[in-house]
Amino acid sequence: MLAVVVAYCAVAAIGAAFLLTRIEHEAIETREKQIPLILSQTRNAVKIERMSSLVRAVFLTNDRRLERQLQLQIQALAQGFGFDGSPILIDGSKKVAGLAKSIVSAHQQRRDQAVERAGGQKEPSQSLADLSAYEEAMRIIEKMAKETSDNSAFVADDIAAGIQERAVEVRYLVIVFLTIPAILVAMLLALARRHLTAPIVAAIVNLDRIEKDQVLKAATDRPKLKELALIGDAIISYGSTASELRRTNLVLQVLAEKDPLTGLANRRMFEKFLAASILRSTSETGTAILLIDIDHFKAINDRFGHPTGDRCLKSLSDLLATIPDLSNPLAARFGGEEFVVVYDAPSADHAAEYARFLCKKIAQLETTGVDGNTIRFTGSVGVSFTTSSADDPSDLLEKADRALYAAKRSGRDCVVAYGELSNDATSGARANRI
Amino acid sequence: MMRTSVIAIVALLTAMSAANAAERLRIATEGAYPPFNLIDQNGTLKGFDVDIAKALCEQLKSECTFQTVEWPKIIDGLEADKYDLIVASMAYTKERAARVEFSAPYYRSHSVLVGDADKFTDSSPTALAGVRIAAAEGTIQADYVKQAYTQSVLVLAKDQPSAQQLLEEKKADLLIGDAIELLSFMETEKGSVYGYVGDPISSEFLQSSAHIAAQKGNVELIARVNDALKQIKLNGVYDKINDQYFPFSIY
Repeated sequence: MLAVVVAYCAVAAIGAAFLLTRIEHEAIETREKQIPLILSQTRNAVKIERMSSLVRAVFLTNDRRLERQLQLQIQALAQGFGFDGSPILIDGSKKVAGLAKSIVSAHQQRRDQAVERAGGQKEPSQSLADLSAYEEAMRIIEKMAKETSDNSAFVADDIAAGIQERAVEVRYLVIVFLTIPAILVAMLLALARRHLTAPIVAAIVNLDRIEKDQVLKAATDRPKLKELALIGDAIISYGSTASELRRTNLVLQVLAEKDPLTGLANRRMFEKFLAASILRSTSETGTAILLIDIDHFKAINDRFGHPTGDRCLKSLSDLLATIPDLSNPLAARFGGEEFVVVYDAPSADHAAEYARFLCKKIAQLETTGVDGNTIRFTGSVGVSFTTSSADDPSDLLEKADRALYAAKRSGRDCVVAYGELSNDATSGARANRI
Repeated sequence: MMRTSVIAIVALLTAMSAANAAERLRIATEGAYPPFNLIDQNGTLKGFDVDIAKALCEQLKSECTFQTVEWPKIIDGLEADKYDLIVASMAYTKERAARVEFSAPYYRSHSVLVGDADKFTDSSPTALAGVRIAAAEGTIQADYVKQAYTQSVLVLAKDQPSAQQLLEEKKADLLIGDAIELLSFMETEKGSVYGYVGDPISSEFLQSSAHIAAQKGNVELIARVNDALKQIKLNGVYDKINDQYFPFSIY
């Protein structure tokens, strides 16, 4: 592309230089040849005019001395035409000088005749010789003048015609050399539109899609310009990185919500779930929390080792993950050995009943330890219940926690419903030891 | 520090004044060739050549001084660098061109024979056999008579006015010289009895055009003189001087 532009400029410059050099040469020729030509013709015109007035003077005068002087001047002037006059001028001037001589001698004759007449009685004879000589001289001078002015006009016209031709050539040159770039520029703009702006716009649209997490579209034909193609590719690769990041983020988010060991929801997720559940509570369907703690878990860890302790946790969580007959349940790991279940309960009694059921189930669990021995354990459960959607989740949790504490104090492997703890000491749903 | 800057300023001023100082041109002419160059009764150098030289100096923005030199020695003086230019109606010859640089012509004329126009009508060499022809020594006209008018008697004088005197004193029958110069002569009281004899002599030996001469090799000065000549012809200064001396243009 650049080479084309440079070549074009070079051609235009050479063309212009060539034309202008030609103009310069012609200007030099004009100055050196044609201007001097015009000047000499002007001089000749002036000399012819001067000759005409000298001839007129010699015709009109009758003074002998003046006649002689004028005639000499006419002769000298006529001799001057020899330098740069045409044959017409040279011959004409010679003839005129001769005619001036005859005018002078005609005058002299008349003067002699006048003297004779004074002496004798002859009749004066009018000599018209001088008049005819004068008229002839004037005719010749007229012809010479016309010749000179025609020559001058010719040369001037020639010069002007030359200038006009050159001007027309320069005009064409300029028009052509300016039109071509104009067309080129138009073409360049069209090309730019296709090869520059289109790929850039496509890249911008792709960026937009990345932001909106939509599928990216690669351009159907690759942009001609390498740089733009690279940009397009970079954006697409950025797009795939971005979507990978998004997926990873999702995974991380999920991971952040799951307890890695047990696979149950973690505390964060549980709290979100609990808040949502409370908001759903009505007088018909409330929210129940069952807070479960493994009894003497530390002793299990000390006796059998942490890996075995983990297995116990795993078997409990497996149980909790598959508990049946609950509406909108979520089992979550609440702490080291604490687990929690939240669900939509119809009544507090239902929650208490289910908690007792869970306790039994927990006691039936058998976990195979690392050394191969079978381990059994029991759990304590604290229960809380609410029907009010305005209840604070942490309040409800605290109630369950106090219930759990009470259950532990009452000897573990039992259930304490919060309602019973505070009000009804005689209620049948007291902690049960299985 | 102070001293060097003072020296620098002085050097700069000297250079500037040197650049601004006008060029000086020394001009030589004969002083015995009226009306082109002559010394009048008061001893002043006047004439067409002198006026043209002054006009050229003004055009060249130079200061000019004039001196008169005898015609036979005028080129010797130029070669000895006694002056820079000769403006003295010098005609072009090959021999002279070998010793000086000539400018373009500043006026053009012919050579003619002058004498009793009634007695002599034919100016051909055969017709003038035995006739005494006066000429100034060292002029092209004198050389021409020696070459072309072999049957005539050449009477040499030391300059043109002296050659004219020979004619007046009847020590010669005819006078050969420049047509324009002789026109001035014939318009005087003494010259009024004479007239042009025959046609003007046009021969390649006898180009009577007047040129300015500079030292051989000084092409640059001659180029500037030619340029100045062109200028004064274009701007009318030449014509004004011409009109003071002659009734028509002698270029």
